Amino acid sequence: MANHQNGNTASLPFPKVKKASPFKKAMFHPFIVGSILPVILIIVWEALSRAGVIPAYQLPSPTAIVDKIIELAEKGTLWGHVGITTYRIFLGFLLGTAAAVIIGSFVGFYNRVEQLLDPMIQAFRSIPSLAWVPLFILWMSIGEASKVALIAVGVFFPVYLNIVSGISGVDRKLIEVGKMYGFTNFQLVKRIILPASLPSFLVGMRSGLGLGWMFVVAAELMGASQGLGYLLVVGQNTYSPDLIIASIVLFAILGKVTDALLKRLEYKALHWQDRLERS
Amino acid sequence: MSLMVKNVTRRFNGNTAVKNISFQTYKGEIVGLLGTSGCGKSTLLRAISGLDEGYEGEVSLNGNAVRNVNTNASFIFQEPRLMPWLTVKDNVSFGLSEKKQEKGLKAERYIELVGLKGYENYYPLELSGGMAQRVAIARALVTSPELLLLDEPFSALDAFTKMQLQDLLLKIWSEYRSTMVLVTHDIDEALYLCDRIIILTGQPGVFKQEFVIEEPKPRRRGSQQVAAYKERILKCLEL
Ligand SMILES: Nc1ncnc2c1ncn2[C@@H]1O[C@H](COP(=O)(O)OP(=O)(O)O)[C@@H](O)[C@H]1O
Ligand SMILES: [Mg+2]
Repeated sequence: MANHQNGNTASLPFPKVKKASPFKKAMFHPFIVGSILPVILIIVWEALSRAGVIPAYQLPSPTAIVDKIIELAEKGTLWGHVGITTYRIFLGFLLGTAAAVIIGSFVGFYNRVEQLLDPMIQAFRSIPSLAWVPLFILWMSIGEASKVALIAVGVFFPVYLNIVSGISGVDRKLIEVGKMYGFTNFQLVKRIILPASLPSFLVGMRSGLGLGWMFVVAAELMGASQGLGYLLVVGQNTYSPDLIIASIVLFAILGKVTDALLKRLEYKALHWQDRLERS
Repeated sequence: MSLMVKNVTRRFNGNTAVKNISFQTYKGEIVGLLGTSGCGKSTLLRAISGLDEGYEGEVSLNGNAVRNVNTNASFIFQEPRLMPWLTVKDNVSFGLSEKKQEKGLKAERYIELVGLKGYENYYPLELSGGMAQRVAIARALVTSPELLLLDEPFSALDAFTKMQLQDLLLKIWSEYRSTMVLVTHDIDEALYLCDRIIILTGQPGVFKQEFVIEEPKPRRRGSQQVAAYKERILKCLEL
């Protein structure tokens, strides 16, 4: 130690350059790190269930839940439930987004339309959307239409708000570049305003989708004969917590998958934003 | 293209930004509008460009009075104002309406002219300030404008990049001989580039004096003749 301190660095042994081995790199992959806690939790849960600490009639073990999902799949009913729920989300999301794009664009582009419509839309927004349920059922009975309408209402607001703020937030300086080229209003919209507000539109779509999943549960709880939300009700009525948790797990998986799809779209459409970060 | 500005006044809610400005430029001339910050230089240039139509007075191009944007004119702003979602090449060809292939060829030619060959597929976020401003110059030139309006185009750049781009501008001018109106608050820049310098002063900005710089271009930065002009201009600005 002593002769290392007298400044004669040349005599120092080469510092051991630590290179992360491929194994170590894989160990610290964010995905692995993020999985540590859930995996531990599931193991503890399973162990407690097997030891009989948690009674199965309240919280069945993870394996029992997986068994339940497999059982549903084998019976063939699972696909029907998953399918109808996905179909409702898809349709509601499409309608809500389309309405938001059309109305949001007009409100964003034209001050007059904003003055006319925005206060009313903001007022509607402050109504908790679930309050619409009885009215929708009254109008459209308990069939598909009322469910899809409810989901569409849930999707509409976040998409609408983001489109309006995206459009009104477009840098006027960029618009002037187009004006210098003698662009028509339509060209300005298509070539500058829409691309520039795309990031905030995509943010709106993702939070709209999240709300859509919330509303599909609500819609299916209120009265349905099929769907994951219906399975929740069945689980409650038949005292089968395994069925309830199995539905919750399926909701989680579907929600994650659809969000990942949108995220991919976002990444593809906005790659110009974070090329710097990646390289 | 010859430009004539006649008695242009611009008021914003009763506050006059520029008052009663008249001047003209001849074809292929570089005219500088020089003045302290806030004396209405940008306001005047925007009136000339047609981006702002709320002025009083008259602007004519080649003898025809105009009020709105003229596609024979290009504007280079203080900031590059590139579309962040487009590559360098697509930014340069942004305002062209030809077929895709033709647009691409034109864009490539001007990208090379401004010294950015090899950066065609970069996005604006990946460029330095100087490179971005080069793209903006290429984008302004690609439509072969007869009149180039520049609003402090180099003022946000460091001293070295600034000099490089001033030289680039001179090179472009000697090749295309487009008429230019250059707004600046940098006396050295005006003296390096302009054939004629119009001094605006005060708030509202009014015409103060005009200097014809007879030195042939390219000029030597900091030569004695230029220094003599600089002194006269400083005196005129009462600094
Ligand atoms: N759009 C506008 N609305 C109100 N006032 C403006 C506007 N544009 C410019 N002005 C005013 O006009 C004056 C001149 O501004 P500007 O032309 O930007 O000066 P310069 O470019 O010479 O620095 C300033 O007092 C500014 O506040
Ligand atoms: Mg200015």
